[in-house]
Amino acid sequence: MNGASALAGAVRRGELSAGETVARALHRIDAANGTINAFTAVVAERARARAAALDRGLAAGEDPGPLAGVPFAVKNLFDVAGLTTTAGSLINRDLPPAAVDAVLVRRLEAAGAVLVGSLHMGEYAYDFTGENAHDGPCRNPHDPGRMTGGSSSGAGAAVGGGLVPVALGSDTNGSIRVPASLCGVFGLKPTYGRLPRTGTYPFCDSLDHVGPLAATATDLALAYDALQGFDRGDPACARRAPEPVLATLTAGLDGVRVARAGGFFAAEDYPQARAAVDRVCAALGADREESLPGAAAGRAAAYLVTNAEGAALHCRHLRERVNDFDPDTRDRFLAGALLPAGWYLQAQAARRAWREEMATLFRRTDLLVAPCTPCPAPPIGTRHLELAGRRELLRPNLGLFTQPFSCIGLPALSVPLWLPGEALPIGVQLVAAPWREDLCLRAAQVLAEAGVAEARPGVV
Amino acid sequence: MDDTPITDAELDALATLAGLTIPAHCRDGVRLHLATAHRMLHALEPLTGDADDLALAPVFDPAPGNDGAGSA
Repeated sequence: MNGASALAGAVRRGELSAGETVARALHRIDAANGTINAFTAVVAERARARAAALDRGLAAGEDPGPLAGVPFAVKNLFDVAGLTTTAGSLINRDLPPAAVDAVLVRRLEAAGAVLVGSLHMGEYAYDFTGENAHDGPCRNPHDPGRMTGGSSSGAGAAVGGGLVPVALGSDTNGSIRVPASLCGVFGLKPTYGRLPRTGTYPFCDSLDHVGPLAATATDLALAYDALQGFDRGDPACARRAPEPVLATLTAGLDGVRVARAGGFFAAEDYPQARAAVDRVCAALGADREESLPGAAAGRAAAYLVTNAEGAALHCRHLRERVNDFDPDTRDRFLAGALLPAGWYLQAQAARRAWREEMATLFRRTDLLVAPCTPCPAPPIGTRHLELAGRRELLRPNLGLFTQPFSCIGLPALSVPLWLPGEALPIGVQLVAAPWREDLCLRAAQVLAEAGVAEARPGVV
Repeated sequence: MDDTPITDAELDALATLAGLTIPAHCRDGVRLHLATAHRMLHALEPLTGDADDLALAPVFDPAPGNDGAGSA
């Protein structure tokens, strides 16, 4: 796998041209996308032109930026000039093409990266599987018969398959972390308000986050640093100066208080998830457990808020074009449109109480280790999951461990593990207090250096 | 609302209030998701006693040290 850091270094040193890195990425996409269905659009002409401009600048002695010549791609809810922002839907295909790129696309390109295309996603981001009735299923690069997870399905598959070293996704309830877990890559959902969503198609405003997926912890930090900064186009974006993490990435975790997430996160026995958490806890010295009594309510609050806010966003389409939705999202949106207002308000109250519980926890603990998904990638087409002795729909429940943290905007990073004898990866979450993404990334780096967490090249 | 599945008439009444029509082929799915949402409502109970301070989105105060962050 060609990492972003290595590629950018080679381009900056003149050992490789940006044109070559882009040509290689386009070749990989051409060879593999027919199998994994990660890309919904490839902007080859734009990418070649951008790479040529970078190479001309390099020849003229200009600094090409820390991501010089690094190919990247974005979930197709990010605006890309000239492409329609479909957000995984049929309905949005009637919209005109975006006039300008999303802010985060511009920031990566300003750092020297080169956009090569937009990526598959679950319809309107209401998905944990990577299946989409309009675009077909996105396929896991480690086993094309398996799910990628969603809703940033293409981002997980494209990075896991080595098509690009960095991709951008969105995460409302776990949509970066779930595909990161199932596709075996690193994925960061920053603090709510850290990165601007300007130029992205919304799902649930009070829960929507955007962030990077990458093949290494270093690449994740490199991309994250390039993405940071206030933007007035997103009302929820915090007026905070960038807090770069790359310089302290290898600082280790001396003095950092690490605990295992118990209670809700350990109530059911998911053997692979438990084994993965065991390995991470052992490597990070997490020898105590936090019981997190409010986590189940936090998860339920996220579920209800998403259902109500998401349905409100799509109410007009539910009235006028109900049969143009993916059936798996349509019925959920319809149900959300019928929820009593009192349920939504109770969910908001629980959300606040859960947030206060976690703020108290972070006075004694700096970093939590939690499972990311209950299992590795299920076969495509799987409809149900055993949950607390009940047979539940898989699509809304694959992210049950990610939802409590995005519910209250905490930074959370999924690291990929390969358990002995397993053919598929599984992720583990590292969760910190608001604005402490640096701790998540430092822990991910510790795990990478210890050989506990790694992204392996896909078989496709 | 208890755990009894919502009837067609109840579904239609709710949908009318919301300005929606629930197609016949969507009804079972909508019922299933409403039942799931109802179970989620019960799961909120440990954190919703007599709370009268309903929360808005958790946009954190950008001032450092105001958010419960640890010292590491």
